Amino acid sequence: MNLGAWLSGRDAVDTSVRAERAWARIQDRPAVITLVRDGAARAAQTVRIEPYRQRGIQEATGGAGMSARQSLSIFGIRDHATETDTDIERDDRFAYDGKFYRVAHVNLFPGEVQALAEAQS
Amino acid sequence: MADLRATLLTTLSGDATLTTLLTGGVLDVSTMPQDQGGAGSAPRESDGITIQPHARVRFISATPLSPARLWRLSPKLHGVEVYFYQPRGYDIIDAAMRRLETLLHDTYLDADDTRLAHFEFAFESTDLTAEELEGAAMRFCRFTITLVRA
Repeated sequence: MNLGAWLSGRDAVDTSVRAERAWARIQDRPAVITLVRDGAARAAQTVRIEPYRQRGIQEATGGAGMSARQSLSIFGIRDHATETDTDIERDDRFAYDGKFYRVAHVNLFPGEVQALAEAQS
Repeated sequence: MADLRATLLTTLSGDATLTTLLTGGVLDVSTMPQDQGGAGSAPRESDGITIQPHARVRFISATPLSPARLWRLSPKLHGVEVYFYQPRGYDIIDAAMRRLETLLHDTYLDADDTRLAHFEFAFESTDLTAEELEGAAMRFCRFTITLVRA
């Protein structure tokens, strides 16, 4: 890397390299999920799910039910040389490891997709 | 026969119109798991994710009713709330609430543990979302029960 160019901001972002690094991080702890969007299941995808570190217990209480809830990040890829872009949108749903997830927000970065989600059980 | 709680559940679960609308059934909150039916015990569609339209019945507190005049009968003003859920939109919920009102408003239910149980519509909520069920659409209604125990 040209450190001087990088520090000055002239260094172009190599999206495919970033995508490959993101894919490697996903492969370190992959999770295969099937999103449901508007009631229809999408193709299975490999992502990485990481919970936020939080103290204490969070619960959602309604008039006739109560669930534990946890915020998480879901990591995917985009613009990878060989792998398909992660297809994830706000309000997508999926189940994984006994919990039910709802995607709340999706951020797009060079080579990577990071979504915020809430898990309930 | 059965007690009032079971009789009410049987009445609602046995209604063909409600059953058609509420494919997830009519559930008794008092018999659900410790979390009273959180995300882990909500009825789901075949995809295992989408919440089925369903209702939950919960009895609420009772207060004495005109004890000075009717002390011999010990009447109580009891209440029951019915919560309706569907994954999104309120069309099924609205239809189910209309049907419930037809079934219960100004009606008497016969049960083992009551001499008299008269139901009257009392309250209907606005459109809500159930944060405990992944933001599912939810509304609830309340009926008062003029109750004389057997």
